[in-house]
Amino acid sequence: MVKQKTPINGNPISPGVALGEIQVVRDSLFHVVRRILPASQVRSEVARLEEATKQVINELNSSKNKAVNAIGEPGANVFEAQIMIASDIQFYQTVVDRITSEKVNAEFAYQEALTETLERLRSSGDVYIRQMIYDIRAVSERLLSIMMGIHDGYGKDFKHPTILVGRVFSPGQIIAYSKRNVVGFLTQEGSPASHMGLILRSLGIPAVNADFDLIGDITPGSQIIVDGNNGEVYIDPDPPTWRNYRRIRMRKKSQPFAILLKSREIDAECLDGRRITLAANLEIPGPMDEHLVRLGVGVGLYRTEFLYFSKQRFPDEDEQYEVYSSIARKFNPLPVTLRTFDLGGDKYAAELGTIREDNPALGWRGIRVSLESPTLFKAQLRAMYRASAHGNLRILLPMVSDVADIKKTLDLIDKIKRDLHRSNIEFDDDVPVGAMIEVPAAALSADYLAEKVDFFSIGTNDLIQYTMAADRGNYRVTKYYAAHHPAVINLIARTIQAAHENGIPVSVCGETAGSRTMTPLLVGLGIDELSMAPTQLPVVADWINRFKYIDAKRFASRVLRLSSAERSLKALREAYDFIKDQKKGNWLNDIVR
Amino acid sequence: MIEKKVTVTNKLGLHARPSAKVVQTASGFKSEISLSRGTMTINVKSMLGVMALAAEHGCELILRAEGEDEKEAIAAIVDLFKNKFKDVY
Repeated sequence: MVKQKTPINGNPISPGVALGEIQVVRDSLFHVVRRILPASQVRSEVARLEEATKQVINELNSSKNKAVNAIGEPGANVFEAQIMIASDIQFYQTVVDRITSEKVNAEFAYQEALTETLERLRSSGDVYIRQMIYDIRAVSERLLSIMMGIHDGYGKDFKHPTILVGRVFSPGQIIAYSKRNVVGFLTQEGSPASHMGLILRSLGIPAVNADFDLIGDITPGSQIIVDGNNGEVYIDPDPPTWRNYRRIRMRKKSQPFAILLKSREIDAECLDGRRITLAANLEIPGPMDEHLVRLGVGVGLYRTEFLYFSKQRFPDEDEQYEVYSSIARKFNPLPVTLRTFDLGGDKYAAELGTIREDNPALGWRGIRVSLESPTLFKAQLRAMYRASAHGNLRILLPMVSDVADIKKTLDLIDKIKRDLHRSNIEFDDDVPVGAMIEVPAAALSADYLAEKVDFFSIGTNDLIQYTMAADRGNYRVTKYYAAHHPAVINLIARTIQAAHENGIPVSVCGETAGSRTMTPLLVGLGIDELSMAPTQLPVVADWINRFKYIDAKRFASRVLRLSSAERSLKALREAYDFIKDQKKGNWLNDIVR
Repeated sequence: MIEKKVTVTNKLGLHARPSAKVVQTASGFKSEISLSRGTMTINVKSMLGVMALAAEHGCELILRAEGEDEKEAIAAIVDLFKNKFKDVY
C-alpha cells in the first residue's frame, strides 16, 4: 500500500491530536435470517445461545461496575434490570424449545420469541412502560451481535488505542466508547457545534469530520492520525509523519487541562476593576469538579440530559435527586445552574413516541417537551427542589419562546413547592429560575420575559443558528453560522439591556463565551457572567485581565453600528491581535472608527 | 392454590426496576407463581414475562401461587404491590 503523506482535509470538531488504529462502526442493522438446521446441528445451536448469553451477562456485570465508578450508584441501577433480562431462565428455555422443535437457528428463534413482548410494550400508551423496550433492546442487540459476529464496538475494551470511524455518533455511544480505549473519532456528518461536538470536547477527545467513503477510503486495522486542531486526517501515514505527530501529541497532550490544574485562581477582572463571573459548563460529573471548587468556579450550565444519555431512558425522581444533591453539596456555596432536560431536536428522545419531525430543530424540544410531559417534568423539578436544600441551585429553562412557557412552569413549581411543604420536605424557597435566550423571539421579547424570571442565560449556539437560519450541523452553510453577525450581536445587546433594566443578571453559556475573539465585545456589552468549557477558564480570565471595561464598552458600541458580518469580524480580529500583543493605550479606539 | 387481586399503585407503573423487584422476590419461593392481565398469564419468575404485562399505573392483575410456600409467596408479593415496590419511586 502506498503510504500517504498528504492528508484528507476536513473540519475540526474537537481539538487535540490522536493516533491509533481504525475501527469502523456501522449503523446497527440486524438482518436476522431464518435457517433450517439439520437435526445433528441442534445441540451445537443451543450451545451457541448459551455461550452468547453467558458473555452478555458477564459484560453487563462489568459495565455495571464501570457505571458505578463513573456516575455513582444510581447509574448502575439500569444495568440491574438488563442483567435480569439477560439471565431470564424462563425465556431462555422458550428459545431453546423453539430451536429444538422448529430446528431453526438461535438468532431467529430468539428474535421471534421476543416479538410478542416488544409488541405489547410498543403499543402501551405509557411513557415509562414503553421505555422498557430500550432495556430489552440493549440486551437483545448485544446478544444478536455476538451470535452473528457483528462488531458493534460495545463490550470489550479495544486492545490498541483506537480511532472510531462512522457516519455519526450519539452522545450515549461516545460516553460508552470513551471508556474503552477509544482516543479519537472521524465522522462523515456532524459539526463542531453539534451535540456530538460538545460531548467530545467536554471529554477532551479529538475528532474531525470529513467527506470520505467508508468502504473505499477506510481499511479497519490500519493506522490513522486525527488532527482535531487543523481538521486533517492521515490514513496509513509514513513513519516520519507518524513520529512527528506523536511528538506533537506528547507535547500538547491535555495542555489546557494541565493549565487549569496548575491555576491557583480564576479572577476575571478588567484593568479598571470590572469583574466578570466565570463559570463552567458541565455535562458529566467528573475529576474536574474538585478543581473547579478549589478555584471558586461555580457551574453556569449543567446539562441534565447526560442522565438520559448515559442510561438511554429517563431517570426517575430519586435517581435525579441523588445526582443533583451530590453536585449541589460538592459545589456549595458556589452556584450550580441546572438546566432542565433539553431533548428533542438533534438530541431526539425516542421514547417520547415514534415521532418523525421534518424539521426537528424547529420542532418539539426543550421546555416544549417538558410542559407536555408533566410526569417527567414534575419528577425533574421535584428532584431539583429537594436537592436545593443541600446547596446553591439555580434552575434554567431551555428553548423558551414566550412568556406563557415561563408562566406555566412557575405554576407547576408553585404546586411542587406546596406539595413539598405539606410533606415536610426541606427545600430552598428562593431557587432562582431563569430562561435560556436562544430563540430570536425570546431575545426580541426579553423585556417581558425579564419581568418573570430571576436571570437570563444566552445560549449562543442555538441563537445563532435560529437567527441566521443556518443549521449548525450542515457544513455547507457553516459560513453563515456566525456569532459576529450584526443581527446576532444586536440580539445579545438587546437581551443584556432588557435584563439590566429589570435588575436581573445575564450570562452567556454557548461556545461564544469561551472564545477570546468575542470576549471584549461581550464584556463591553455588559455581560455579567460567562460560562464555558472548564479548560477555557484560565485562558478567558487572562484575556479579561488585559483590557479596561471602559474601552471594551466603547468598542462594543461601535461594533454594534457595523453593517456587515465581514466588518464586525475584522474589528473583532483586530481587537484580538491588540489584546494578544498587549498594546497599551486606546487600542479599541483605534480599531473601529 | 391461592388467588389474589393486586393493583399497580405506584405512579410509574410496573417499569423495569419494580419488575426486577417482583421477579427477585418471586424467585425466592418454591411455588409456581403467575400474574394475569386479561387473557395473558405470565410466570412471575421471568423478567421478560413481567415486563410483557406492560402494567401501567392503576392496572389490575390477578396473582396466583401454587406450592408448599404459596401463602408466604402471595403475602410477600402483595406487600410489594402495596408498598409501591418499597424504595422504588
